[in-house]
Amino acid sequence: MERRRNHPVRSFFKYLVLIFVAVVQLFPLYWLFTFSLKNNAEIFGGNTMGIPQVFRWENYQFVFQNGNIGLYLQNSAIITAASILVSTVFATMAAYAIARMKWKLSNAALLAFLGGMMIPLHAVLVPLLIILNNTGLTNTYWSLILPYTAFAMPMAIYIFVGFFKTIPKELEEAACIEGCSIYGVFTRIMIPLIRPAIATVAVFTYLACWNELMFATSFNGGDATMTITVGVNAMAGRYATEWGRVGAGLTIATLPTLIIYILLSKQIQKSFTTGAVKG
Amino acid sequence: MKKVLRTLALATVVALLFAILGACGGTPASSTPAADPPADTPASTPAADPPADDGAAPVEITVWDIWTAPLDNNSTAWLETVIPEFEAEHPNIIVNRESTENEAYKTKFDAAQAAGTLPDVFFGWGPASARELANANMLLELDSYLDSDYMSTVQPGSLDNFTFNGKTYGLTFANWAAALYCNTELFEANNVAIPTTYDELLAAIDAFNAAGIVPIALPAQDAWTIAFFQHIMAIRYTGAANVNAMLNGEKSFNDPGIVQSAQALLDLVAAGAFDPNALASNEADISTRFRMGEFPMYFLGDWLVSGLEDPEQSSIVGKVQAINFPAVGGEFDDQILGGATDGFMVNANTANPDAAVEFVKWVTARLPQASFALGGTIPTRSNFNMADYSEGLPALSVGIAEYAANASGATLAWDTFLPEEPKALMLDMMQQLVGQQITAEDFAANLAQIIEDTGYAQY
Amino acid sequence: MEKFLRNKKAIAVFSVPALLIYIGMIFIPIGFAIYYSFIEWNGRAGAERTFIGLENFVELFTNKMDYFVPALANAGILALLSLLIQLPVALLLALAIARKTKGEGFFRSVYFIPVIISTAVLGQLWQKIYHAQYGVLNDILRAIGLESWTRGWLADPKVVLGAVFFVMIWQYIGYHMLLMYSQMKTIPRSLYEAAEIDGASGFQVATRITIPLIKPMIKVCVTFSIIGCMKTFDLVWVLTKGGPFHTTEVPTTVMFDTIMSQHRYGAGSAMAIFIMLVCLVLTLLIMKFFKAEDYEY
Repeated sequence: MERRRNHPVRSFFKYLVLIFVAVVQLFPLYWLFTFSLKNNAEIFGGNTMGIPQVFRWENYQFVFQNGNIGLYLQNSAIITAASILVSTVFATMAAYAIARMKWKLSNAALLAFLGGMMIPLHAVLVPLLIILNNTGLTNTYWSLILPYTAFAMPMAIYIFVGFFKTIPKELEEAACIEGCSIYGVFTRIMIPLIRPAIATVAVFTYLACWNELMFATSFNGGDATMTITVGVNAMAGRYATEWGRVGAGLTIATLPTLIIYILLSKQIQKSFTTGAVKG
Repeated sequence: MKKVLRTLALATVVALLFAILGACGGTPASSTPAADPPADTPASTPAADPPADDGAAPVEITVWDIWTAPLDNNSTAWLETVIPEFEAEHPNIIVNRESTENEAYKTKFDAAQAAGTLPDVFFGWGPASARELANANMLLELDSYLDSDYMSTVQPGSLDNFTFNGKTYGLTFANWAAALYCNTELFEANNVAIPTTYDELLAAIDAFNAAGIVPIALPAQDAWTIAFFQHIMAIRYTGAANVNAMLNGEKSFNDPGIVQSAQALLDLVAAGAFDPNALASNEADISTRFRMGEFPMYFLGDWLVSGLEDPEQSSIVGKVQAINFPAVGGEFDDQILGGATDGFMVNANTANPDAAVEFVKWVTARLPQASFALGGTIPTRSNFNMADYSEGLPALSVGIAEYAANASGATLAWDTFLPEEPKALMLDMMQQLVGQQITAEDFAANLAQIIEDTGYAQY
Repeated sequence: MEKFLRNKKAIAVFSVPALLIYIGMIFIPIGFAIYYSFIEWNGRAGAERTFIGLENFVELFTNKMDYFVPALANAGILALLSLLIQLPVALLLALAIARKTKGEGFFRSVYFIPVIISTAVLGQLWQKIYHAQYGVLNDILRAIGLESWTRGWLADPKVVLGAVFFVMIWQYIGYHMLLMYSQMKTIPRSLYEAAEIDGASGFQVATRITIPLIKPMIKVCVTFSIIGCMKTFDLVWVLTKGGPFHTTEVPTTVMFDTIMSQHRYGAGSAMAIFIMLVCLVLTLLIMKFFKAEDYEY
């Protein structure tokens, strides 16, 4: 890709801005990491933003030795992966029916699904607890997978509908003429086309599930199903907290997120070279 | 799609890798010092299937508490002493313990109250919160279980905050007491005397201001910490008995003593006692900064002590004096802000009331001593002899326990006492006092008004 | 073809699984919340519930102690800021990195980081930046001679709303950028190549090709940002808890306080229902607005 019309000065200016923004956006990550290597004296006043005077790796050692952080990570991974999987499969299906198929209620259905996004979560905490308790699902992975899936779907469906709508009709028509079933069209033609959307939605669903605290605290108790977010939160004491250790816990909880985001967002970019079909 | 799935699978593998690392990191914990609870105590593992054909079938009780942090004395006492002993003595009772961090617990606890999904035994607060649960018939009445053996160890009056209409609904284990913590290093460096009277307190505030030091730490975002100043001054001016009568709705808050107490808080604000950032600060931050030696004074409950005594937490170990709030020269100068507000309650619908009550009796009799021995709060036991424990205990704990034991009266923090709406208004007005937005007269009048409006008043 | 897309059985197969989870986890709980909004209840399962009709909804606007109306106004301001600042910046960043930029992957990853970091951490970070005594913001102001501007940014009721909203706008720029970017990535390269042969400038390419083609996603972003502003909670809660003096209350912090701290389930649920209705109306307006200029292939 040669840029014959891009003026070098303008280009320089553009990169200057981009790099400046990048530094600003990177700062929280830097701050979290250095926070996790400090003690309270530095965090509170002494050295809030700088590089730690001494790198206190023992904060990490503490996190691994106290509580069951491995188990919590495993629980979070299972719950998050299941929520992403279920919500992606169901949301792509529903979005396809809404965006591409012809039925009277399709717009109403979209709005109804979107309604799920509009609920303030605190207002449904008690009803959900009643439902989950009556179905015996509290203290299981399902008590989180089901609500996480449900609350991930509105956003997913809305985004997928937007993507499906931009796909040209000719593709389905061609497949229809070739005798492909609607299910075949969906799985073999449509899904590959919206891969960037799936990756995008997966990122958002991942974040919502991985960092969720209120449901995870209220629907489950005990180590067996405890998520990493609850586990790290429990490191803050009622009376005294070693914040560096909490920072270490938060860093450990954030690391998988970072890795997954980088992997998934590569998918979004890659589709540039492989996904172009229309026009 | 396949690639996305592969990525997800990879991500899961990464997370599992962390999991394995975590598991390995957990094993050598046996060599850690006593302050760190072992990672795998029997109490924290999820309940296993009960062993079959083992005489009587064991019963399982679920217990909710708020002690998650290893730095918390209650947590350590719980893990190392009380629950292991209980399980050893009661092989037929399996204790399924679920601990939740304090703030998160409030939400979890509220949700469970509304949904009716409380566990067999749970930690909770009296009297306001417990009163509502008792009124809703959700608490097991404990009187028939409280034999004279148990009652002989209970400090008189210490169950009052869990007693409604003459019936006991919860058992307490500790009294808290507020203390004015003075950083002696800063006092000495600036040639200021530890204040014993309110006037000396104002003088100390002036002296520290002159030296460019914020005199009193105040996490005003947590409005109840502001309220402490007004509460203790109300006690000083009108006495704990009067204040308790007002809190019970038997007397009006529109009282000269209450006006004076709010005015005293306004005077502190006007004297520049507090930090300009106070309204943006919370308790956790300010406590940490006090331990870092930033402030000369801090008025908070005795729970601050354990962190102050821990060299990893505090840079002022041994440089703190904890005193009862300064006197005004009246008859109520020995009284304190504090009382027995933490307790354990039993669900009215528990399937195993006997086991649940036995557990609550057992832990409330033993937890306070075990916790006090580690420098914790003051037990509510009449058979408790401080001398048995005070050796090796931080002087701060002993000092607070002593003046608390000798107090002629005490009042709880009002937000744990008042019904919801007066409580919300009271806390709102605390921030307004700090912002000098209302007068002391309005404070008293507004509070009296809402108590009457909500039908809580009985006068 | 028509028959193909009107296949009722297929429509059912596609939409019923999502619908089932929805009914169980969203519609039934909303039903509960609607029921709660008509009663007076102190949030204890065994306690009495009194049916009081629409009184809770009337109270939203008459009970001054709840600060619900100022909170709604704050959410409105936030939504405006989001539309006028957050989304345009996100669009510019997405345009800047989506085409012909070295280090595209790096910028894309880095710009999203504030969304990844948990709100609790961001809250801690910004509390320290805004702090009166050791805050970096005040340090900078002092260094450039604006001593008189220094203050406790989260303690001063005159500036706190701006300080909180700034963080919220900033945090989600990466979120919207990623959404727009991901749709830009589906635009066929041939369109750009054709434009370049025609001699279109970068600006023309953006306004005539990229932006029209990602309009569906802009609609998604507008919708999400409006709904997000009406429902925003976490960052306000960790930064100020709605204070000082309730100046930074948003609808959900008021609702949380009403339901959780004050145990007024009826009033709190009425707030929730009202928030939902506002979101619903705004979403319909957005849909209508974008429908008028729907882009068809």
